[in-house]
Amino acid sequence: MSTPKLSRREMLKALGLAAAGAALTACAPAAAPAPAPAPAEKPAAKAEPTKAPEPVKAPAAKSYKIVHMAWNATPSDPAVALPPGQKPQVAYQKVADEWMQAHPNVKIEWYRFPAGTNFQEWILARMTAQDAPDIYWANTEDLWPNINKGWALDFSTYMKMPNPYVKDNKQWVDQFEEIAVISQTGPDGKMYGVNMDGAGVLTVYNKAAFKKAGIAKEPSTWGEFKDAWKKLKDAGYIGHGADLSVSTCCFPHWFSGQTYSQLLWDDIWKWDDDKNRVITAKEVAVHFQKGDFMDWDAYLRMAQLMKEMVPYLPVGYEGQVNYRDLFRQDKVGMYMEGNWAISDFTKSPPPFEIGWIHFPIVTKDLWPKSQEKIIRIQGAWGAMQYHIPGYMAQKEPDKIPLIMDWLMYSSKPENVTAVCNETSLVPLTKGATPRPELAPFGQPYDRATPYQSWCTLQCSYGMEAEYKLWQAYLPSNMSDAQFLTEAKKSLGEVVRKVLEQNPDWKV
Amino acid sequence: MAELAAARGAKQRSGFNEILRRMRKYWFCYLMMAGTFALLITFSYYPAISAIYHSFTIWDGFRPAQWAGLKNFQEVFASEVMFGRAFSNMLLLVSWGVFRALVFPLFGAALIYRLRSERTAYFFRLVYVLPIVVPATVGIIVWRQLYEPNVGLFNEILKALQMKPLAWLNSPQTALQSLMFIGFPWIDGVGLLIYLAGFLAIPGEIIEAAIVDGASSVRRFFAMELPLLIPQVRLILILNVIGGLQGFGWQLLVTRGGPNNATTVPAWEMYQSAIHGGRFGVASAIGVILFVVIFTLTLINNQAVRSSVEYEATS
Repeated sequence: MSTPKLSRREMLKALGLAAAGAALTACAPAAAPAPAPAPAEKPAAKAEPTKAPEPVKAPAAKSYKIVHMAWNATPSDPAVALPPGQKPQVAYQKVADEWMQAHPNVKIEWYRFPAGTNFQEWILARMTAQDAPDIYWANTEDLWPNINKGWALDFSTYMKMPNPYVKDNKQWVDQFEEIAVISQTGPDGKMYGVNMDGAGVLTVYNKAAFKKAGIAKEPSTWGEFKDAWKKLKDAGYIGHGADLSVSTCCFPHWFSGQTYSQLLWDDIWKWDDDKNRVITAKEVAVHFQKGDFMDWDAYLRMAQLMKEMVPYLPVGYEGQVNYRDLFRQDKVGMYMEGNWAISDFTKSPPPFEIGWIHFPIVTKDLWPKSQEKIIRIQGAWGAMQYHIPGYMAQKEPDKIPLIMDWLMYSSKPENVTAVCNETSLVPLTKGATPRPELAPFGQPYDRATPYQSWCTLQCSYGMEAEYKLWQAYLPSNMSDAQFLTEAKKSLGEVVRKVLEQNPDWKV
Repeated sequence: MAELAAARGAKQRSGFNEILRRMRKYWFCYLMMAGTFALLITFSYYPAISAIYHSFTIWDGFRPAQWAGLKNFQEVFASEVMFGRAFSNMLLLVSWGVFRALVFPLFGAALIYRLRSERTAYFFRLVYVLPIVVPATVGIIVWRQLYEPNVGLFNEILKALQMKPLAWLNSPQTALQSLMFIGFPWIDGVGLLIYLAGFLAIPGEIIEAAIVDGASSVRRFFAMELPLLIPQVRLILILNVIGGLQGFGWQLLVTRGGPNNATTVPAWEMYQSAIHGGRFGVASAIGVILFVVIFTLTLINNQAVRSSVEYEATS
């Protein structure tokens, strides 16, 4: 029997085919894993708390890796040299080591966000490719418009389960301050994440500038603030640091959140159809269609108050102004700041003493329905606000209980305290304590309004539209009637886009 | 008639056979090119075709697209911002961009070309070209600092002259003009080199003959040099028109299209609609409109701007 001779060309063809086959095989997705044995704890199907809280154990036969993007709470990379004088962040690593000891076949791997990357582009790409970290950090305003695309897993069932790591805990959700729960409540009323810490907002001021301007007493009401801004301006300072740029953090929505909520107070609940203490985007869209959203008189009053600030704002406030730097350069008298700035002020103090005061109280002479109470921006935007990609429910369902267990362990009050001591953020977990420097943010207040304020254009995904409205109104001679027409048009446009993506919200 | 059709058919067949013959003969070359073609199709042609399809749909990038007919185009054309403001800004910025790319580097190159000392010419060429090595982002940051309304150099000068400071990029009234002023004195190093190469390619004897005939420097420039530089003009024109229509770097890095949409352009609206708004259908519609505009302008440019003398490429 003769063996057919292989020509050089045929051999090359065969080799080519073999190489292509090998390459294709290498590129092909791994075979779907066989369903793993059910973990010890599974999410409760019903709302009632489960009775036997026990930590979840991973099936011993399989090893797992949880990729965690912990944002500012991420432990320092041991491979990267730190600037002189900077201490490495270790707290969350210690927490992870303890948990991994109890879960020997699970590894927590930290995801380090690529420097210089635009977060919105990053998350869009990761969700499209379904290769996001198993636990990822995101501000809710980036998440809510995309929740119906499956970007985040519903935590509601787990939130109703007891946290086995916290003594006497009946439901995980009970561990968190109300504002943390509100912050993570999505447009449809479900909870899409856990919020262990957060941010508070106060007005920081330059004590030396106040002295130079002859301001003897810290202002508290709107009238007193106006007086202080004028005195600061007369003394050569910019009265209040702020800008309206769409990329700013965060004067316009902090202002509107604190003012509008203050003007409405309990009237706000008339739109809370599901009585969950959150005015969701859905509720905004529904009530706008019904024609009873929003309170335009209060909205106009808020706009007028903001306009009263204009003479005391920096030149060019309509665009981007780095008023934080101007404050450090002793050019700005005061500005609104989040508590995260505490660590910067501690690390690199400005050449003057600083103080912290509340947002101005709107008095009855300005708005008859005013409650004359202290309101505070508080809520998300911390380092420990975590979400799980929605596609995990199909892709790796067996990993979800483990991830939840890890997050439950993370949320032990002592663990949150340890991490917050490094990040300088305000713990929103009951029993956790903040750093002593955060004392001003621990002062009592009458009501907290979520970081992403309610019931203006913003909560229906129109932050940029609202900023543009301010940019048009504040520097111009636009009349109040014109402003209201523009505001209604703007909200209508935002709601139209929201309904385009959520057709089931149409009334 | 039938003979003609048969002849045409035979010609087509022989043409097709010729292609097949060549493919068989040079199969290795085609194989080598296949990778490039695959990448080109995947990352250039497929997205472009997909954008054309999705411009007729409502699509958020995740859920199935819903057919919307011309709705996205209607929305773009009816929008005061996306069409009115963005396209008028684009027209102004592209016109100015093309003008400054054509005129100022040409002026610089003409001056350098006329320098008698080679050393001096080399020095000035270096001076104009050296800024190319500075990353564009650095340039943007420098200009942003110059324009800073509270501590920037420009306002410090105004204050020293007892004048009221301006908000420059931060005011809807001055933002677009401030954007156009950026890069002053607008002599782009690459453009200057292209023109200079064109100048140096002009045969010396033509210029010498003109000088002997008593042609002035200005006359030589307009009557001889400029017509001979038309290929360079065309290249710079096309590059700047396309770059100007597609670009939104300043909007992305500095103005965010504002304040109050004062500096927005269609490409920025496209980016915003897709990345921030999750409205890929509308973004695709803007992309398709831009494609039509660019394609038309390129065709017009190729037809309208012709040199009286064009040198054939030599192999």
